[in-house]
Amino acid sequence: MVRFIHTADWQIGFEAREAAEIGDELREARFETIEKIADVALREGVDFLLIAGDLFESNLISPQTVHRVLSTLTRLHPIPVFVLPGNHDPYTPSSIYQGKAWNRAPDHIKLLLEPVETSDSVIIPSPLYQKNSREDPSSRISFPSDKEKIKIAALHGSLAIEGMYEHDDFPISPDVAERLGADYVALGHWHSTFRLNDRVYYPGTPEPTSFSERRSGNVLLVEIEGPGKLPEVKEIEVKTLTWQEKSAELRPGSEKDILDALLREIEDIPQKRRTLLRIRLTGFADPEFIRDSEVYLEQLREDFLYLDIRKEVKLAPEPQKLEKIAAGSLLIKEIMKELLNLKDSLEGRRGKSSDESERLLETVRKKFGDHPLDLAKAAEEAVMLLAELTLSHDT
Amino acid sequence: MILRKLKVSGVGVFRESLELSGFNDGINLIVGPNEIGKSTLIRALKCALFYKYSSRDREIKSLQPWGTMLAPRIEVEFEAKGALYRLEKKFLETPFSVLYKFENGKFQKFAELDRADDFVQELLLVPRRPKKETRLGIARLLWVDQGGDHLKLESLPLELEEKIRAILGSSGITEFEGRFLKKLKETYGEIFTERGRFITGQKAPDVIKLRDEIEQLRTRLNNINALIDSVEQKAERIEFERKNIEKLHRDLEERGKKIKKLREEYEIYKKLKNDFARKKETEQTLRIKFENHNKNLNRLKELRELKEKKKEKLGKLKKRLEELDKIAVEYNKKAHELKTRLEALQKEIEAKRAELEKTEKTQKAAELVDKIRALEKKISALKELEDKITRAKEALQSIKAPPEDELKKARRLNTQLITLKSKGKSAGFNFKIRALAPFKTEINKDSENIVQDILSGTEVSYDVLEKIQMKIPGLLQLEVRSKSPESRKLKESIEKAEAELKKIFEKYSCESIAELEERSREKLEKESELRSFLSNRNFLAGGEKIEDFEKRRAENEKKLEKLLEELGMEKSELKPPAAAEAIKTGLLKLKDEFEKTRVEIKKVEEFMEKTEAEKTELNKTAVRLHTELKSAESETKRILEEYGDEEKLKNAWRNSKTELEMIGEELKELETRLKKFPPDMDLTIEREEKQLQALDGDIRRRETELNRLEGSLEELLSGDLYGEKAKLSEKIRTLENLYRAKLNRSIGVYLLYSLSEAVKDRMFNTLITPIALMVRDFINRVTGRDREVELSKGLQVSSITEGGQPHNVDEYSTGTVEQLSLLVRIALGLQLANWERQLIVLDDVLAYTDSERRKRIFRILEEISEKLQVIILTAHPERYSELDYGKAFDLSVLLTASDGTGI
Repeated sequence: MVRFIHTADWQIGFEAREAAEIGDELREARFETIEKIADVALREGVDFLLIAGDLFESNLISPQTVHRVLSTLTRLHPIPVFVLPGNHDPYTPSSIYQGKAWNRAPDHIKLLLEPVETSDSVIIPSPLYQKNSREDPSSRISFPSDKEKIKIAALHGSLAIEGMYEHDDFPISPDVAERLGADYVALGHWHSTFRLNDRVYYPGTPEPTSFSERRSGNVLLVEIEGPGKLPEVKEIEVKTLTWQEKSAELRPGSEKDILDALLREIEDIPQKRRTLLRIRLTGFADPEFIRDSEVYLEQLREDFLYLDIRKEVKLAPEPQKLEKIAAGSLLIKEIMKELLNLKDSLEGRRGKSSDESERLLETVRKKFGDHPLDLAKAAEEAVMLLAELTLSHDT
Repeated sequence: MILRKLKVSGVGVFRESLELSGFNDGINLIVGPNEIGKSTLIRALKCALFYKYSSRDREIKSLQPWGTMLAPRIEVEFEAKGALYRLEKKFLETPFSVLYKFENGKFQKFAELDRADDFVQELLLVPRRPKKETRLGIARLLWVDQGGDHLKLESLPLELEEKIRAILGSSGITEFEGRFLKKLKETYGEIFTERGRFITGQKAPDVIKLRDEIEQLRTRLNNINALIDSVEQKAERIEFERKNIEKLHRDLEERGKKIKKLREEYEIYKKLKNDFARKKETEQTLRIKFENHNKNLNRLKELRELKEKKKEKLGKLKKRLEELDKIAVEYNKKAHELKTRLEALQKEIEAKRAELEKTEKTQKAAELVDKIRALEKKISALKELEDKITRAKEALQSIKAPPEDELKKARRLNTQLITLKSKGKSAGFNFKIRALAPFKTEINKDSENIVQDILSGTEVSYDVLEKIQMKIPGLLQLEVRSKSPESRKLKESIEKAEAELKKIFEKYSCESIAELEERSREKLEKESELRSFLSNRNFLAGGEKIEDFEKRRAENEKKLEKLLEELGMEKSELKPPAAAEAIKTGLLKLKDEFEKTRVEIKKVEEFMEKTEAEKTELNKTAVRLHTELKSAESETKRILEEYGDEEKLKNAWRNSKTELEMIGEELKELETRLKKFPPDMDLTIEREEKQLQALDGDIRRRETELNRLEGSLEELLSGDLYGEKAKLSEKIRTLENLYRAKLNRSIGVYLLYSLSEAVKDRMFNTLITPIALMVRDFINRVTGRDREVELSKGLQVSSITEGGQPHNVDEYSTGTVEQLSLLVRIALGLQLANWERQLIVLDDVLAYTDSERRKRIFRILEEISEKLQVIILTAHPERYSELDYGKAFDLSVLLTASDGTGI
């Protein structure tokens, strides 16, 4: 029988692509998470810990960081820790695993370059030697037929399921377990926990890296009775930070109710200081409402570790609102009319824009062409500004 | 301007005074039946305000009450530019104009006559020199009298429009709009420059600062990325080098093995080579021995043969010597014979020589006799010639002739004289006389004295050159002289020439040039004769003298005597020379034979000498052959002594030969084996070893380079490259989001500002736009339909757009047109009200308007009465029951009550 933790994609030294502002916090959280993984391993009394690739985000991680990882893993001594080089940390001459810092690793931490045996199992790894390849990493390995031990394959790559992989991203044939005759295929690379079948699993990253991940933040506790037996796999949540996305579709007239409901939902989120929140507003709304709603949403920023507000709302001013904005002024009414025409034409709703406004747009493109212009957004901003300048006087 | 009070007298129906006072700010109604004079009031108002007091315009005259000569008198109280004025005017008869201004609680006189009128017109926006259409100012549009076609709106003259716009300026903008524009401009000014560019430098807006910061961060990120790339490159290099070094190591090992094998082979090769050398030495010794035996054996044979040959030669030699002795005897005899013959020949030759000498001498003597004879003949001829020459020379001496040059001179002088004289004839003059009686005279003509007898009646003529003197003795002396210098000159020249010629003639004592010539010719003849004699003598003597020839004759005679003495003969005995030649030939023959005999003797002697030399040589050879024979015999003896006997020598030779053959075969085998080894094995090994060393060096170098690479990679890896990259990327991303938001906002500000400016310009830089907008607002309120109204310049309704379709005004009902025209007036008034409250006069309008619309118009009127004063004249007060007006004047009541004298 064998009992081990299957994890992967720790991505230590992670670069925050979303929530860039709190990169340092995100990196720090990963250390907290791997401490938790060590706790789980010790608590469960496993035979070994298997990290199926991408322990590090890159081969250029500082020696201090490597040292910090090693000191956490040293806590597991003498439980073996098997580390497979992935596409982020491939085994090249510049590999982190050839550096001085890693070379100080104690003996129970082993790099998986060759097959290793434990008392009941044999682990055949397919370490990666480069960042991209069209080759199936499982095609390079095979199990010795005479062994009466539990066969575990350690691979890093993308399951070749149509629509879910790139051709140069180490495609792994989905029949990998059958083909190799493996009892368990320990995969790494995908960041969400994923079960292909009884014997093929991705554990996902133990600490989430993006709002788009649906099921990350776990490790797998795997138990296999003996050769040929089906593995028993258990998900254990270890994540430190939570990435959440809340969205609401606004409708003119009922914007306020919808926003209120959203705010109530957000209010219920636990552990807000350990949560990254993205609020996505879609649909149509009045500029005055948007102006007001921003004030409410901005107030939330203090509560959360990170708040990202995505306003993808289309401005839909109501006639009465416009009257209010114009405050009986013919001048402002005219400006508003021109501006809405401009906005409509920019958003491709109506081609009816005067020569004058075409000229204006042309001037803007010419003058500010060296900036990444988004004229539709700019026009929306102009509407918002008009609302701000007039409403504030009115009230 | 708004109206406060109007008082008229002598105007239209109002003969007596009528006063309307207390007009309020808003709507005022003047009610009265037709013909009561409502419109006349308005006309009077117009005349008072807009016509000069002195005017006699038709309009003024028409104010006069029917059939009277009353002078119209009008008093108007009005407010304008915040002051209250009273204008009193009288037209036509004793006209005047006085303007009062309300100040300090009462009306005070302000201006009179023209100045008063001008001031009022200025107040009411009438141009200084009004045209027909501008005479009434704005009132032309705002005051609609019954007479005018109120359906057709008067157009607003451009001159007026400009005046209005100048007054209004931006005062059309409300306070609210102003605040908005100001705030917008501030916001814009924080981001953009006047010229609509982003502000740069210290005061640059966030968006620009952000962009610059991002740019800087990007540069840093690029540097880090470059470093990261270099890590990859270095890693690749390291891997490549490692593989290379491994390969080189394998190569090194293989080469080492190869060299070891080569060395082993080389050892075997060396041993074989030594063997071969030793055997070769033995072979050499054996061969020497064998050669020695062989030599001896051969020598013996040779010696034997040699001896035979020598003996044979000696035999031959003896025979030859005997032969030679015989030849010697024979030749001695022959030599003796020849010598005898030679002596005989000698004697014969001597005899022949004596004979020849005698003959020759005789011949010579004969020759001398001939020579002497010839000489004697020549001497006598010469003597004769000498005599002739002497004679000729004497003859020549006797002739007195001038030499050639002198003769030539004489000739020239003669010719010159003739010429001069002929010239003189022409240069001089002719002197003629005719004597009446004969007389003798002495004439000096040109220094020439002539004495002449002159005959009577005969004319005597003289050609005179210079001067002629005629002396008739006892009678007169006449002198005629030429004054010409030329004549004198000529005369001198002639005299000079004559003198010279005379000198020559005297010298040769002759008279004329002819005589001189004759003598000269004679001399030439004699000279020629002499020359011929001299030539003959030279030919005969050939330059010698007679004495020479005589001397030679004497010499020859001496020689002859001597010869004759030698021959012992007399001169007479001399015979002509005989056969000297035959004797000479015989002598030559003898000499020839003598020479031949001498050569033969020499030949015989030479042959004998040769035979003797051969004998000596043969004897020498015989001695040498004997010596050689002896030495060969002693050598043979020595060789045989070395071996014992010849048989033993033969045995030794045979043994030696066998041994040599055996060792030869051994050597051959060894050579074959050696040949199997490649050539220059030692060099090959050396070369291989050098290559090995080079390879080793290369590996060491590469390893050093690899170490260096690994070191530098290590250094890069020991930093926190990825961490830095991650942090920088995150920073850039954060800033970029901010930058985009700021950019959108900034461009939004730009768009709003630009649009606002454009709209503002459009609205307030023309009077028409805001009026059109108002009219559109009003008409839509009145008609309850959505229409766009477009006004042209001059406030004419140019088109009405309804449901997207433009329409002409003609297509609308009279009511609508009437309403539009009213609303345009109101809008214009409203626009002007921004500057000053205006009076609008509506004289029985809205006749075609239904009650519903009229009601809506009333609402508008009520609204605008906040800003405008409205005076409505009507004969139908019931139509206005729905209107909330402020004040009403009922003219019929007023007229009754005041009975023409006012309220």
